[in-house]
Amino acid sequence: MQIVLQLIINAIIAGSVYALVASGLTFIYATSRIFHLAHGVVILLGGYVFHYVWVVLGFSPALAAVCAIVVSVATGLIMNELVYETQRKRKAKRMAYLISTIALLMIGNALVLLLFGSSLKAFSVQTEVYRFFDLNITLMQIILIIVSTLLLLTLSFIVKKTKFGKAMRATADNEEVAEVMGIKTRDIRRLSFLVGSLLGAIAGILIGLEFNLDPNMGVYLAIKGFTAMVIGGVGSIGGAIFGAFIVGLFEQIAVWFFGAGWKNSMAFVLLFFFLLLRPQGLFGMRKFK
Amino acid sequence: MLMHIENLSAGYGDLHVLEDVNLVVDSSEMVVLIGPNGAGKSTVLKSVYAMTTKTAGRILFDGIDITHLPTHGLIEQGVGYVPQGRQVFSSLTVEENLEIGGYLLDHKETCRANLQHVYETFPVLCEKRRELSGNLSGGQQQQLAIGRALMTQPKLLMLDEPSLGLSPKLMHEVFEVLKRLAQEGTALLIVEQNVRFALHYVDRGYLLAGGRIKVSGSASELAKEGVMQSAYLS
Repeated sequence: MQIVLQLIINAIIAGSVYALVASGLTFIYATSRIFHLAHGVVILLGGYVFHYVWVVLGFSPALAAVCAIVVSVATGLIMNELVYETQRKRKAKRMAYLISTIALLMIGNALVLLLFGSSLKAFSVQTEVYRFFDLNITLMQIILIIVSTLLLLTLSFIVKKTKFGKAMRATADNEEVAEVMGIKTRDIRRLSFLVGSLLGAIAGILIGLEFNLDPNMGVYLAIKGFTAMVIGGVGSIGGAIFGAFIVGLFEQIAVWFFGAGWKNSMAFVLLFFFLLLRPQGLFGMRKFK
Repeated sequence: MLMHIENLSAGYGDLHVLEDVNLVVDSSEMVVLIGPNGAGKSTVLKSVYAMTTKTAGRILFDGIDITHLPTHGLIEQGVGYVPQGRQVFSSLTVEENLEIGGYLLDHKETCRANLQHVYETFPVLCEKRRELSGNLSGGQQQQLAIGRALMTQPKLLMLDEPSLGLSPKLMHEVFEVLKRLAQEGTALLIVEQNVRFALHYVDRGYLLAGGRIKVSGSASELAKEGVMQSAYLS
């Protein structure tokens, strides 16, 4: 029983980071219809810049966080502007976007490796360990869950209540008619990339603090975020967040039964399972095309 | 005269659709644009709404040249457009759809007042304000699409086949509302397939075929035996 509870707590910790990734991806997908796998690079940069400015250069963690967010968001916006918008002008097909996002992911990954090296980066932040009924949770982990929850609540408020949120949903629903209403959908897409990349940057920082940084995690996180999206039904932010916790939970189960080496493969197992048997996801109305 | 389209030629990229189109709409006037499939009726509306490539001619609105204005500029000048096919934002509620219609309004009070005015025009939308617009019936969705365009209080409202897919009873309902809008001072330019039906309501009409205006005149002139046949067959 205690083990089950500890597994659930660990799943919530991992799930709250994946939820930031998945909701950012959904935000971007909703307005641009792009599966922005290169989001992995944005997350990776968030973690690595944060580590570099804080641990290597020795500045304060607050300044490091600001630098990390600026670099990540700029990277996301530049990718959109230089690659996706250029393709959009040429009326590119979906396949073209998919190939270019994979290319961006690989190039970005290689650049991060080149700039920061291939060794694991650790922050060695020691925080207090709390024990509830023989369950362990660190202060860092509590902060991580709170930060993620607050961000997701803010995001859902923005989407539901603000003018930008409504314009974003209108654009996602019907881009052509949104234009007829005077919405500049190109600006809405830019803002989505900004918000999505911001969430990605923060996810990168939190991952670094909690799990250490390794250059492969960009690819894995993009796949995990994508899997969470598919589980929840592509396009629904609530669904993506739910999917993120499912991914987190299955990873913990795999680690417990088969060992830590199986952790990263669970996202692929879930992805295949859903694409084959339930492509519309758990909450999706339409079939994922 | 409110809108004057002068010698307009337009199309999509290399595809030329309209050739030397001249058309006038005045305040409080209900004008219909009829013609066979592929005549370019929708293209006339889309040309006004910055969705085509214009190769010649110009469009004057309220004395201002609006030929090359972008969408938000057109809305600010007072041109409204209801695209074909009851295209509401189906995942948004009725009220959110209307708010998006007023997206360019700067003041919250103006938005609220206009929202109230739309609800008075279409009471059923007020009843269903919290419902997802995808769950509305066809007729209600068409009312929502029109109401959404009314949020900016346009001087001219262009509608692309508002009767499409509606039952005869609902068609009459929609056109009764349009007629009331015209009486209140809004000019209307309507593309319609259902010729006999539309001519019953409108003041004037233009018959378009092969991208050119073939006949224009009052509704009673257009309704005369033979006028249509000659244009469709020529």
